[in-house]
Amino acid sequence: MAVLPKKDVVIIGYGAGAGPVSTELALAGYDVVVLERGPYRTTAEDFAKGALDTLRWNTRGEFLPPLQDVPLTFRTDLNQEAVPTNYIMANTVGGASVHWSGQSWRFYVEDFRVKTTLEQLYGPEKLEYLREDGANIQDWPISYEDVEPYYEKVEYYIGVGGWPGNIQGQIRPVNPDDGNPYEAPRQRDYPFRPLRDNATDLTFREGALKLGLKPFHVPTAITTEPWTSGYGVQRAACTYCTFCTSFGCWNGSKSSSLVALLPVAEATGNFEIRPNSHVLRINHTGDRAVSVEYIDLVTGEVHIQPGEIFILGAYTFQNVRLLLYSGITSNGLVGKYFINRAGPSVSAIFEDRYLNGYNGPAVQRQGVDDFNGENNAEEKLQLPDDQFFVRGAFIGSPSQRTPLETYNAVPPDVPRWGAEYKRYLSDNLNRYIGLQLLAEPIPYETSYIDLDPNYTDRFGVPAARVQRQVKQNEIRMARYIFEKGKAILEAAGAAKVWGRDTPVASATMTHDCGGLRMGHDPSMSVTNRYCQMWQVPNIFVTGGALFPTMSGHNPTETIWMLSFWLADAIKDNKVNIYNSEDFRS
Amino acid sequence: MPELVTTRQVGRHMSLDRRTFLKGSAGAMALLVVQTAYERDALAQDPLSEGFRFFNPVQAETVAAIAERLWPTTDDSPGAIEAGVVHYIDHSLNGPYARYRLTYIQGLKWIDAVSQEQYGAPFRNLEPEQQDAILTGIEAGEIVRPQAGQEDGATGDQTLSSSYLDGLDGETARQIAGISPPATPDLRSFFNVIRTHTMEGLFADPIYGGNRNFAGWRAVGYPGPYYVYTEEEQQSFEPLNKPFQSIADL
Ligand SMILES: Cc1cc2nc3c(=O)[nH]c(=O)nc-3n(C[C@H](O)[C@H](O)[C@H](O)COP(=O)(O)OP(=O)(O)OC[C@H]3O[C@@H](n4cnc5c(N)ncnc54)[C@H](O)[C@@H]3O)c2cc1C
Ligand code: SF4
Repeated sequence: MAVLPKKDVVIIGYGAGAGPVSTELALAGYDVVVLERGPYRTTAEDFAKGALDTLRWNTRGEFLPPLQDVPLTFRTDLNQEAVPTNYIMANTVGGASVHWSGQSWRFYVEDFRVKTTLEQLYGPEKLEYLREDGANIQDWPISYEDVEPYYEKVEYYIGVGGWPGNIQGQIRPVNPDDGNPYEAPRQRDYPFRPLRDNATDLTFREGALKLGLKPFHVPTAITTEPWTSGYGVQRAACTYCTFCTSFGCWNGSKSSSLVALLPVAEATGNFEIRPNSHVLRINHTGDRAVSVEYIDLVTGEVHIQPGEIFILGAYTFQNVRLLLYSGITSNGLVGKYFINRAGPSVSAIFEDRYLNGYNGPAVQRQGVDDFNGENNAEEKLQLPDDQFFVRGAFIGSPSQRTPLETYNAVPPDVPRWGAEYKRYLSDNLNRYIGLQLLAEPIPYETSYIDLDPNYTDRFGVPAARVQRQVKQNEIRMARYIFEKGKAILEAAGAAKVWGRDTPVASATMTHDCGGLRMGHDPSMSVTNRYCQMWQVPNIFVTGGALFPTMSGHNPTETIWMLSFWLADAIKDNKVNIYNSEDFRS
Repeated sequence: MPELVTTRQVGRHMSLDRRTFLKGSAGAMALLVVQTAYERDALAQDPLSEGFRFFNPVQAETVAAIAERLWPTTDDSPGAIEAGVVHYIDHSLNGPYARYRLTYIQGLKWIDAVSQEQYGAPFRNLEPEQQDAILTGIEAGEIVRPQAGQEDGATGDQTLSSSYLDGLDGETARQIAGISPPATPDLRSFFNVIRTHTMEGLFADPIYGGNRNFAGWRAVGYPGPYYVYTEEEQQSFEPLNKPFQSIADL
């Protein structure tokens, strides 16, 4: 076991979260090393030629790690044994930011203070059912105003396009028909526009407008024109090839840590990325991390990498598992308050038109936020008590409906094989819409990640075990959102609508957050407002594990934002890596 | 992914099965990934007259019979056999789907045993209605495994994948768990696997050996991969009728 030369900054995993902080610290002159367990795939070598292959990247999941290396088990019932389940995030330099969809948002102002918002809007009586269910909702230790510049940094330095919904309080100042009117106020417009609308979007929009809703084209981290980022990285315009979600973009148009941030870090000369390096453990002295132990997956050799600052960027499950296996538990808080989505589903077919969903990436999408967050608080207050719920969901109209990705999307009364099935797909595959319903989950005391007592990976480290339940709020919300989605499609003229109005809990669904909560209070959270662990002040966290609460929007822009925020905290000496309670607000 | 079926397991089944299987598996170590366009064009018109690398002739015919019921020939549209689905599955079992080999060996044996018990003939020789009745029973969970094959279930820890371990064969699960997976092999898990692979053989790019003459894509109106879609195409509410093309044509 070789002990390698000490580095200023050691980063574990290189996905979305690790990208900004590693680039920013490298630019500031820190000596940075990144240990990433995936191989180093690049646009030129791996995607430019081979990307347009659904079987390879999507069905067979070439990006995904062997389950023996990153095992995950799942249960809802705490009295049952957890069973192994699939892990669906890319194992590659750039992590899941390489094969993600690219729907990219700022969270709402209220998303950072859900506890206060709910108390003010609804009062304790209305919220009693949440308490009964063991909900533990906390405000974030940061406000939207604190972090707004860092959202802007994501948009201008990594690349996010959209129609502005709110510039300094002015609603839809650039395009009166587009932009999310509910979005948090931004100081500046987006650097470029989002993807265009396709037939599916126009159809969804028609339905939403008929219902008096406020549809908008979703913001996307995809360059729609030749664009040069704040770092000077040049990017080509998206060609709408549609080999997008689950694929590495053939053209480098989809923003990722790989295409937007890594080249900048590498150009500094004081940054090194070691692919195929699987971190096994963090060695520490209780309140100080000293080194990490990692295995070179090619040679099988184990190395010790000492460092001054350690940054976790291995996604929620591996971040939690590493800490727990290394004996860092923050008084039992590590792994707690896990949140991921469990929502309804709504699909439809149209008889009066073709939608040709096989053209158009998944994230080419119109959507509505009229039922998201507390935008519909008044309507919710009118609901009978046993239907009342808090928070909400974004509803949108994805595409990317190629046959290999869509052959199972049939209504329940159509058989799954045989002549009738064949006829159904022939007639309807290109007339299909399946909505995205991004239901916001609630953190519960009984939803958490720990180490599995029965299963280990091939290195002998226990699997991450996920426990997650759906409770009254999820069930009520699912029914409500299902009806709203259905109404939009019916208003748009759908010939047939079907779906599921109940939520289903699962271990992982790509928005797996919580577990390493940030907070004001060391006795109630794992990190402080700068993503610095209270217990071990030279460990910092990136990723959605930090979120105290979720949102009805996708998490990644906020993950990137927090990483820029944390980079500044280190560079500007707002944190003390010897004392996590000694920081400057 | 490493080869997940151990030599011990394959060897054991070889002794259980016919010599032809031995012959068929000779090429099993060759990792076939992508078939060239040249090879695709050179293939015989009758997909079942081709040599298979994994299936013996009886297995190939049974797979063909099942796949054809799942995606039958209709009026002017080819069924799974003509689309080359058997070829696709055979190739996949020699490469990335090696972990499903035992699923097929056992499943095909069982479906024939069920057919014998119910209709006195192997599956491939039944009438389409009888074949549909068996597949329907399996899908519904009414036919679990042959009466006579109950004791075969004892080998279950290394054969069929159970649904929640989909993608994990017994060996992998044991590696993760250090214990046997609680997998109960049944015909429904085999049905789910072969259905999935049949759809892949129809809808994956022709470079993988199925979807011949774009039979799968033609049936559902998908032109295949294109680098670019224009605004006009994207906003059309009519079929686009673009020419079919494969990755090999890009
Ligand atoms: C198909 C798909 C579509 C998505 N679409 C969207 C979307 O439209 N919008 C959105 O906001 N989000 C989307 N997401 C979610 C988004 O990808 C994640 O939020 C984001 O990538 C999480 O960032 P992360 O850095 O925490 O983890 P990741 O990006 O997963 O990176 C973690 C990295 O750590 C590595 N690693 C893990 N364990 C170890 C170890 N022990 N040692 C070393 N390295 C390790 C992994 O290989 C990986 O590269 C999508 C995800 C998927 C899979
Ligand atoms: S649709 Fe656009 S962003 Fe997505 S992979 Fe194709 S070119 Fe890239």
